[in-house]
Amino acid sequence: MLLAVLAAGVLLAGAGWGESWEAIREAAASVRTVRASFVQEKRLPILTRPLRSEGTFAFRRPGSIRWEYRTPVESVLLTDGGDVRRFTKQDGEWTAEAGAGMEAMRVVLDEVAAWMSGRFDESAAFAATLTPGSPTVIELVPREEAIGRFVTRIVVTLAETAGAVASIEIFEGAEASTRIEFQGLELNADLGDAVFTTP
Amino acid sequence: MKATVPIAAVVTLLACGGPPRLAPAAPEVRDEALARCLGVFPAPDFRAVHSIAAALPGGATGVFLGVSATSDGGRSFRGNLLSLEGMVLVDIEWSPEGLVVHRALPPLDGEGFAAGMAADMRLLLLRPSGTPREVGEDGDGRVVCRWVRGDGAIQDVGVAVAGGEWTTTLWDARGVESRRVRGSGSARDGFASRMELTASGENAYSLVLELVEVEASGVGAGGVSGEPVAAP
Repeated sequence: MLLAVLAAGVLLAGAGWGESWEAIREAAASVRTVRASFVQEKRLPILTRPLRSEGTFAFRRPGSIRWEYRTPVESVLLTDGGDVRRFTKQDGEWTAEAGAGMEAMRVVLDEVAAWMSGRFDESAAFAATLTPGSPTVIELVPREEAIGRFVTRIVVTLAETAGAVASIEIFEGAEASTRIEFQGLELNADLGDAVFTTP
Repeated sequence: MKATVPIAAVVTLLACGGPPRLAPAAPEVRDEALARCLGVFPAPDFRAVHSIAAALPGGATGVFLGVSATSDGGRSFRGNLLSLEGMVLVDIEWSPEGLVVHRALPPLDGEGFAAGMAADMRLLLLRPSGTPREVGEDGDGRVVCRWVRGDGAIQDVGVAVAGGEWTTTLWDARGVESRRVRGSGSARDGFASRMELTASGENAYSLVLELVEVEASGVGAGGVSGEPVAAP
């Protein structure tokens, strides 16, 4: 689900800033590719300071995604519109994971497909509330209890600069949350197939 | 077929062989030997983050993040299993009074998963409680300390004479080995930088844990805001 939020947030780039759902959809439609770096901070009640992760994110229409962490564990999640594959670097070598978890990630990416065009308000999984302003904020609340068991609320904050998302925060209950801040957003660059197929 | 029977018998005997015999340590070196055994465990209390590479029954593999924190002088702990993307998959709390499951997402919400996770964490991170029944030396010349748990399970902690490597082995009350941990490297307070756990039995699996960061949090260790120390 974090991936869905991450992808959806970055894909909002180009929005003419958050005055309406229609404006967001129109802006998202103009985006062909996205590339950005991110810093992620995980807050847990048992940690005195957040667990920090860093990585990069890339997207190419209609459904290619590369989600890569450089720290604390080198890993990359790849999909070129079909299967989802995750690789982790172990003892200096990229190793593919094998297991049912990848099927779950496929389900997450289906949700991303709806959000890619900025159709937050049409999501079957989340009820979206748009609060225009400075900054503009989109709040997503699970419609179903099954999802609400692990994600209670998602807050997407748009940057003032058109085409950028400042941050995304995912709340898992009252005590745990994940904050992702994007940096160096690059839109509509030429991203080759290898970006989405090769660790 | 005739050859199969003795082979199977040997395998069974090995699996059920139980802990090895120990040559008792001389009284004058017993305390030092015990200190070496206890030295392989992190000094309580701490907060730690590990990467966990798992090879699971059925051929599934996966890498996770493990966050652990002990309290009450290392007698209890809380553990979180996270996806690499940071989602909390399992959140448990263990103390001698019992196990509390705060969160367990499918497919990790099955019966026994949280208990197995707690058992693994206890073996990996907590000093055995009480006085060891035996302290001595095994046939390989390693210092070994042996505790007997309340349920009759036996836990050995063995430390190599040189090189800093150690093993922890757990036998159930029948003498059947159930888990083995091999630790190596040291980042701080005896905290191994790498630990490999092998669980035996019908649903055998293995875990490789590498220390990402550790933060001492006990009295005299900087309180709850002690500086984190990155693993080497």
